[in-house]
Amino acid sequence: MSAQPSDAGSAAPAVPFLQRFPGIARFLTDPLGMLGLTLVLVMVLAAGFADLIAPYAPSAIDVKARLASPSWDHLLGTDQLGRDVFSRVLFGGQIALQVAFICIGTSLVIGVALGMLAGYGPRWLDNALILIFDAVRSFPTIMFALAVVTLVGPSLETIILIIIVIQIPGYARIVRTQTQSLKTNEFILAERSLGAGMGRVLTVHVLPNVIGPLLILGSMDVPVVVTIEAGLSFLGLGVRPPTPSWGSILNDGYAFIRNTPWLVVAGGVPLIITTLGFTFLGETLRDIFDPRLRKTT
Amino acid sequence: MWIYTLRRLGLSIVIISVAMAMLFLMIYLVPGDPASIALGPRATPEMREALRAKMGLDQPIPIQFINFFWNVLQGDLGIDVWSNRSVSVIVSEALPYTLMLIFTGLGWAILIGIPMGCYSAIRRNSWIDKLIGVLSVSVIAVPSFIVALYALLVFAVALQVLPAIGAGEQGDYLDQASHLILPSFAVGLGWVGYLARLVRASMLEIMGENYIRTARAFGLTENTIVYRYALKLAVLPTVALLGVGVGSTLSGAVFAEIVFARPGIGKLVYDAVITRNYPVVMGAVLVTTLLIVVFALIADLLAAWLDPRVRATL
Amino acid sequence: MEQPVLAIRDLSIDFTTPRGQVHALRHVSLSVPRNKIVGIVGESGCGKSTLISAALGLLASNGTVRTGQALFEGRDVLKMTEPELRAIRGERISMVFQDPMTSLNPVLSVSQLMSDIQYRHRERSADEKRRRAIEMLRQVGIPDPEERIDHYPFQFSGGMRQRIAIAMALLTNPSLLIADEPTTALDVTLEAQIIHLLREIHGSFEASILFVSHNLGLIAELCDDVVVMYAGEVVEQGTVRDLFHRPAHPYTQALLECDPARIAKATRDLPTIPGEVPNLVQLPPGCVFQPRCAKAFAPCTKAPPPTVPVEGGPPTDLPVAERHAARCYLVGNHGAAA
Repeated sequence: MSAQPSDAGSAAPAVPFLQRFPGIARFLTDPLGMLGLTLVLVMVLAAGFADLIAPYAPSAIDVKARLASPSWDHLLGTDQLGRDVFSRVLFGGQIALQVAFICIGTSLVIGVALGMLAGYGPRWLDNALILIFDAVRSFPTIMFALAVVTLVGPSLETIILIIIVIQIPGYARIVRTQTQSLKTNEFILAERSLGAGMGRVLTVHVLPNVIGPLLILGSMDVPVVVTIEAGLSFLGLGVRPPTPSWGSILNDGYAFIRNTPWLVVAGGVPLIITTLGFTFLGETLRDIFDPRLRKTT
Repeated sequence: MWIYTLRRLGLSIVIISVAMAMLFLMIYLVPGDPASIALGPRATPEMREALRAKMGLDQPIPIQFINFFWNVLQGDLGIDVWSNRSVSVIVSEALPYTLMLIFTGLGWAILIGIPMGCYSAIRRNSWIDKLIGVLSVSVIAVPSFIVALYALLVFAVALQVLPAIGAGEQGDYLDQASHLILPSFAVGLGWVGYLARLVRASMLEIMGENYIRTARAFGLTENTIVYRYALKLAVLPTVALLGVGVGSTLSGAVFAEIVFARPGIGKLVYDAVITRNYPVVMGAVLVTTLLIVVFALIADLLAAWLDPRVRATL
Repeated sequence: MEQPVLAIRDLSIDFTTPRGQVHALRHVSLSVPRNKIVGIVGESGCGKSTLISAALGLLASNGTVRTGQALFEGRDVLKMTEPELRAIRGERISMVFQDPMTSLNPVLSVSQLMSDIQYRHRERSADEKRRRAIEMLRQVGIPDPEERIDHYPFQFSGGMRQRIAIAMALLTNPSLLIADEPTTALDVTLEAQIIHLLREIHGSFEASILFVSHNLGLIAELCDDVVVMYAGEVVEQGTVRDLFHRPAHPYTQALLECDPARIAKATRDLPTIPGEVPNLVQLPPGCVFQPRCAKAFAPCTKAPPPTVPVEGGPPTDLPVAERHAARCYLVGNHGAAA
């Protein structure tokens, strides 16, 4: 290197980005994690740009072409009403993502609130909340969903509501544990004695500690939520036709399974991609950033 | 040990009671009542009144609640308003099929999953360990109803080697067994992955312990160390896990029953949901919740009993 | 001269780690004569554990033997196959470990544990194995052994568990018993009892004992010969008498000075050896103790010193590994005025 007098005595060489964030480097070199990330990106981009990519409208009926096998015209074939399955799959992705976002987002918020309440509030409230959480968790998910649907009637909104209720106890528990351990922490007591209110304590101390684990858990819950919605739509108890949830595509596929296998295949593959992708991604993230979350139940 | 048992039992009873209360109260959180819902929008007011009276919905809520509790304790889960049969009878007819499915599914998963986990731990970081690792995560991630559908597609519809529908002829065990193969495969596949991972992690932890080092230093054979010393300990957490996991297995069983048109709780409830037959649904949910709590309790107690350290100190 | 039970000759072992090659043992030679108690003393990281693992053929998979042999009753342990090793582990060589709380399998009863280690003796019936186990428990001082043999380890105190461990180690009448810091996890009264027990056992059984410790007092009480290790080398060895009365290596001298039991008058500051144990990946050129040695002089930084006999020791026709010797330029006719 040529001598450059103006550089003499300048600052130390910049630390490469990856060295400063070793976690990210580890993630980028983990094959499973990268595979997960790729699958997730494929799914998210396909769903996000469904309007641009989809060759047909998802409800466009063409009875003459019903139950067709895949061809250049219809990449994944058509269903019993002649609708293009590929387009329906793309828009189904939108539904899946919407459901995931709404459900996880809402149950996170409520879960955090309830968890803080349980952890910080009076003992009786904590006990009551824990009892309710345990009771909710003791219901088999599907049975609980079926019971609610019997009463309220099937619809996507019902499903979303059910999923939110089921997800809350999991998040609340984490926040509650963290809140409880901080409640008796000495420096918290010191802060309280100096007049800090409960709100400040919770936002400044509890929230930062729980955000990481919650985000990881949340991302690992995406496949769970998408699966529940798909499962219930598959049973005909979720989205109402003609909305193209992957589950409803599978429902059609099941009904016509002896006519064509392609509907079942087409409805299942995006689900598999989504669940595998988010699971690989979530597991890798968890192993790198917070192995404590590895629970055995 | 007894005090622990009683405490767990007490806790379980409380949880079930709360669950029952929630199921009961759900009716009132919803616009309309079960009678209107069941009859649909075209019913006349007289029809609704009649059904309401029949279902006991005309009494004040607290009375209904007490009646409900009292009835359940006596094993009376109400009457199916359409067929006039006792819900308890209906549920108890369907339950054995579901239980058989669940246990067969879990059974083969245990037979395959535990040895796989053990093998992974012994051949740690080999290519087969990594392969099992990826496969385990994958089968855990993929929903069991997808597995059921694809199994149906491949083996029953395309290849036609296995039956697609039903539980088989009564009394013909071979036939019933062949009808069990695909559904129990779907129910158990996720568990294979779960168990393999758990056993692997347990084994690795145990193999690093000091008493394993002692056993090696005394020249015990690798077989003795792995199977008698390590594996015995490693499967303890799986017992507790299986108990807790009966709930998720139930979900898988429900879907499998519907996909393969097998008789059982799943099919029963599904049909009841379509007809908005809440008493049947509620009865089935209660029974299954009870079963889950009971199984979790048994598994927990069993796990505690199997570990002599816990057994002696309880 | 009888063949020693254990003869380590010029043993060097490296471990491959992400940080580089860790030179855990370098040209270590020592021997354990028949029916003697030999002590190894040294601080953490001096290589004692590596040495013991090697003697049992239990070296970790990232360890490589660079040179040397570990001869047990004349046969090189490092070259044996697994079945050959399994034949002698727990049978001819046994070991008592440091932590009695975690060294015994928690879910097996003592009788099961003690029967398991007799598995090679197929000619013995289950009753016979149990009888021997009970007898051994009685000998190590477990009260009421017929009953307690069916208990689980967690039902015994730490001291009792260590006695059980010793009983297990002696069950097959080994020629060598290796005790790796057996009393470190116990309080002082228990420690005294265990040492007393070991001495008794040495008397009644014909076993040599290799006693590893960082406690000089115990070594002095129990052992016949001593080996002092530092950072993977043997820096001094000899009989207990030689070493404690005429310590030749500065490290040994410093250790003795720092032993709290030897402090003659009350003082505020406990004597310590300044500095730290060297990095075993990158060793200092010259003597390994030189960076912390108060008596270092010119040759010490150039090359590692050879092992040299110390004047006034036993007759010099014994091999170096069996008389008072030290690895120091200050010893013998290498010594300059201190």
